[in-house]
Amino acid sequence: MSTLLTIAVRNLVRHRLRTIITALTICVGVASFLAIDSIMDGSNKDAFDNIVYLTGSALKIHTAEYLAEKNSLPLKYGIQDAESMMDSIREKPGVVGTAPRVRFLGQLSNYKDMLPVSAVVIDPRRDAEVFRISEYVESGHYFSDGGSGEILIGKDLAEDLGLAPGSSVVLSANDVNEVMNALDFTVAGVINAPVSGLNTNGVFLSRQDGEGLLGLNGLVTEIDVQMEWRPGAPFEELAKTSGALAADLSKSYPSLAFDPIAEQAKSFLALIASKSKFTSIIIVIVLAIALVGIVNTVLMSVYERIREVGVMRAMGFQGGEVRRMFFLEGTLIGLLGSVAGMLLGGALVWLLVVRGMDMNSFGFDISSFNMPISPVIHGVWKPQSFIQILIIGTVSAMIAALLPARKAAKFVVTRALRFE
Amino acid sequence: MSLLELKGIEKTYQKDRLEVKALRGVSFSIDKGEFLSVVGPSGSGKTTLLNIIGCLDTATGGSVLYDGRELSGMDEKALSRYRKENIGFIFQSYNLIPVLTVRENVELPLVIERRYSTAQIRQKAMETLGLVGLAEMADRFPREISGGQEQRVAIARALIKGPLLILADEPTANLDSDTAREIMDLMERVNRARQATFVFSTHDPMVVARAKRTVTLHDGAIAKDEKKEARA
Repeated sequence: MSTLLTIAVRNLVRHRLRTIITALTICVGVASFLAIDSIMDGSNKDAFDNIVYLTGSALKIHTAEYLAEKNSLPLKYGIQDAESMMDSIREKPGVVGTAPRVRFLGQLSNYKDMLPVSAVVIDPRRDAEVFRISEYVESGHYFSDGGSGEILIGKDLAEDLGLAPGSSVVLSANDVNEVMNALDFTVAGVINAPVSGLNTNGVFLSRQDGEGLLGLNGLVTEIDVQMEWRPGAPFEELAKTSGALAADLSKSYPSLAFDPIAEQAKSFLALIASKSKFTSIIIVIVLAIALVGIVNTVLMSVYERIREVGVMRAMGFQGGEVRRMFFLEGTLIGLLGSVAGMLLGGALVWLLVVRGMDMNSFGFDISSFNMPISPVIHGVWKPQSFIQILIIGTVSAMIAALLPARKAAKFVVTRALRFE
Repeated sequence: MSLLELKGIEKTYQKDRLEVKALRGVSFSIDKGEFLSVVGPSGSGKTTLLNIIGCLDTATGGSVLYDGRELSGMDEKALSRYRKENIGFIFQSYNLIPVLTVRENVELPLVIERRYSTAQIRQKAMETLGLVGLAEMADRFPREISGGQEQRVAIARALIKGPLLILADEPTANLDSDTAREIMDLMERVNRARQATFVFSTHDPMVVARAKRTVTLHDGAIAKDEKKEARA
């Protein structure tokens, strides 16, 4: 075996340019897979974080009527006795916070211009236990104690209306009785969140002001529940605990509708499934190209060495030994390409993890995609992908080498010896 | 005592729709220690005969007895094993493995036998290289030595396992006359020293002149079988 390995290795070195070019195709394939896989998973992680902590929560609770008319954000379907319900839910295992919210559509004016906004009434203290809005206040500050008279607005909205922390604005909206109402506010902070919707038309006001503007009489249209989710843990883990909590609560509160995180992320999960298919297609295409390269290289090697094969067979080498020699060559090219690809891929993944990839730099506006993805996506390290692609690259090379290796083993010795 | 006995050897090839008779009832025997040349014009069946003697090809008729053992009817694997154990080959184009050093090329027949340790194989290779006068070139690659030296290495490779029969297909065809003479000297020396049987096909009159027996083939049949008288 060691002699066959020696011959295989030395032949690869002897035709080093050919070896390098073939290994390079595998290297590029492996590295591309690792980079794409890293950025895909990074974008998934980013999106899940955004869905769980910015646009949604582990579990949303509404009245069934509200859920049926959810798109029109009806204020009249408030949850009765929301406070005691939230206290009760907080006692459940795995729950880290509950927060009441009321969503409505309104207009924000700087006394000169007016823009439509998607506003949310929040309890600043409890909201911070569930959502991460406070972490994205770019200028100014989160609500001060109680937050009365204060408003948080998205960065793009602030730019469009020429607002900054301390600016005065008027927020108008229909109250619970469909009567137009308006209140004056001071901009407390400007939010620059990784989800474009919040920046373009997002407005947050305190519950106290929401009462004044909308006449809610203490009712809330949404209760958000946040649950334990280890950093880096798979989304499925949170989806499972969230689903279990929803099932548990639906027994105690049959008149309410529970919207677990898996339901909120449904369309994104479907997108992930198609992204994963896309990644698989890339692997198949790239590996197919690389494997054709290996078949070609080993076949060239076989035809160049027909006489050599003849001599070896004449000396008593069995067909299986000749087959092993060429098989080893193909395998070594695959291993070399895969290892080089892992190194190159590692460097690319490192860049993606440290620097990230600005999607807008590719010439399209990520905010127009209406997906919970940040403009700058960071890659993630996935050691299992490195091992997986090393195995796939090498095993595929072995399979590709089989065909020419078998051909070499089948040469008729006398013809091989006469081959010119 | 006969080392090899050929009885009525026939070999027919199918070339497109034509049947080509390469050998037509060739019968002769070779004794141990013979130094025999097979001559004849191109297409006379020399190479085919050597291939059958060397178990590289099988006859379509007749029988081959090697050391009293019938080889006809052996399958490819058994023939391969037989070759490995009993026959050494020397080729016109030397056919050394270019990526192996001189020593590694010589070691190859013993490596595939898996009968000796690495140290024993190395020692035998160096002894055999000493015999062909190339011990000092053991670590060179074939591309780093001359054609004559390459053929010496090929002879060493054929000799290392001590076969009873060494087949040489046009061993001097690619060499200049001085080098060809040196190669013949070497083969004669080995023939005498080891009682190794040499059978070589050739067109070279110098080689024919040095052979102790010459079998002439014509159209696949033996036209002449001449033995030279041993010199006193």
